Amino acid sequence: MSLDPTDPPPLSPVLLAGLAARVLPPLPLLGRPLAGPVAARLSQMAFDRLRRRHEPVFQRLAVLGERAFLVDPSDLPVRFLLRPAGTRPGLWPIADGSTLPPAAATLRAPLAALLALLEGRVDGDSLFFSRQLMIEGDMEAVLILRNAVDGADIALERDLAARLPRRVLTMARRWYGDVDGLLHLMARAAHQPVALAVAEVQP
Amino acid sequence: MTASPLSLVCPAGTPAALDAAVEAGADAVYCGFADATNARNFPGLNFSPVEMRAAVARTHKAGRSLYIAINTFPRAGEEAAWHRAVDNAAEAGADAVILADLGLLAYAQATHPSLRLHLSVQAAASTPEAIRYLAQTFGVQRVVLPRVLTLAEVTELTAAVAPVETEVFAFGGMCVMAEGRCQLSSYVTGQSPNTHGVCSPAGAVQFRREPGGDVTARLGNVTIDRHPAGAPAGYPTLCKGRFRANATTGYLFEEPTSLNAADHIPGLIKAGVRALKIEGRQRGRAYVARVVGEFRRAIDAAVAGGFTVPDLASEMEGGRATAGAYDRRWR
Repeated sequence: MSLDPTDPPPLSPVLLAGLAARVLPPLPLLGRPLAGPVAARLSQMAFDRLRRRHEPVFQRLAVLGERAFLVDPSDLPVRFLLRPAGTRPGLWPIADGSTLPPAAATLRAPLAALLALLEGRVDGDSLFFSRQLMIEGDMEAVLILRNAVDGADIALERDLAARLPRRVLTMARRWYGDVDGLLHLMARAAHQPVALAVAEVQP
Repeated sequence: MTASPLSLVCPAGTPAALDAAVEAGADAVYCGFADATNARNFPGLNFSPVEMRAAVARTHKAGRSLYIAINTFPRAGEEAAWHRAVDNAAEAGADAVILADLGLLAYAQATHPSLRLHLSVQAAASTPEAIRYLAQTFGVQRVVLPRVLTLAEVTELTAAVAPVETEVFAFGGMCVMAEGRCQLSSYVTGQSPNTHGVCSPAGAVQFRREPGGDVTARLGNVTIDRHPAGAPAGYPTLCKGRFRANATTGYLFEEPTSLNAADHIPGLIKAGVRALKIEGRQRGRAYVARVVGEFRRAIDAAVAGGFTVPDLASEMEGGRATAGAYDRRWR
């Protein structure tokens, strides 16, 4: 089973960023940032670091064997193949339009929701109840992954950026805050016509 | 935390959820071992005996209690696994075990006479006679009441069975069947919460996105629901499926809804109920932290004479809440 890749993702700041990156000439690489070897190497580095920092979690995931997951941030033009255990564990980016590799299950949600799930900041069932998270395939594998990750106390900034100088982190946070604010403004503006139309038809 | 007449009993499916519950203000946390001896036997969930010992130590260090649910019914010829779970609970230093099976109650009483016994909701004991019998025979000190009683019935029963304590569900998944006796999951998948510890086992669940965008939910070979992609969802259990009957499509058993009895906290305190239980050992630590924190504040406010109902809509199955049988007006 697989999700339909032609479906439009929900309108979100991340999606707007992706669209903007595609149409703005000064940022031509951001539209397909994770398709190349650099992106593949970054993904694998991030995965390896998480595996080192959270060894007990990956021990719990050993029961998955060779089972892999297709992780689909619905507002990004890229997906990831995640194989937490087995003979070749890792995380690989797959650019939009590429042939999808076989996966035991697919998890589809906006990027922010997937990251919140990874860090245990949101409950997976709550995301599922509200349909922000779509799951297909091997539910047993999904539960093993979800329950192990939820108990892991993963904090991406701490886990992945531990070796970066404090000044770089401060600058990155400030830059992210500025861009995030701008994108939320754009998203609200983009939603506005729909909101007005809905308001008109409501009694 | 001030001493409260109403103890807040909270779920933990992982060590991280246990820490979240303690931090958010649980008076007691309940957990299970990672096998069929407890009714939340989901993949990747629950505690090994080593993890359980560490969990008891952390909980006691924080001044709280830890209960261990061994609340499924031993399968014929496999009682040793359930006996071992009781032994492991006693060795871990649990403050109580939550049991449903009569044979297991007898084993626990005989083997570990100082171990406190709570009667699980899985035992479906809802009459003074049944509860008194279990208290007199096995020394049961607390009974978790089924989710089918009105507030008036809870009040009457609590008075009738004293000094046996009563514990009632306040929030989380609704199960309106006669718990411990429901065969719906077993009918379709061959596995049930009663003996395997799992309702609608994950291996039997499939979600499929149809070409038109609808999502189909299947349990075993039965399609149990089909709805538009954005519609709120519930757990893929047979009792919350939508079926066509008499030319009408609808929920035949119950709608996907969460119990929220927060409104009744003052009434439950007045009724003499000893403990309020939050359901959800299968939920993440974010749910545990949020729900436990809100109920802690609500109970403390009710004890202090003020009371505000917590807003927990985002954590609810199907995005909706019900006060369940507490407000029951039907017969």
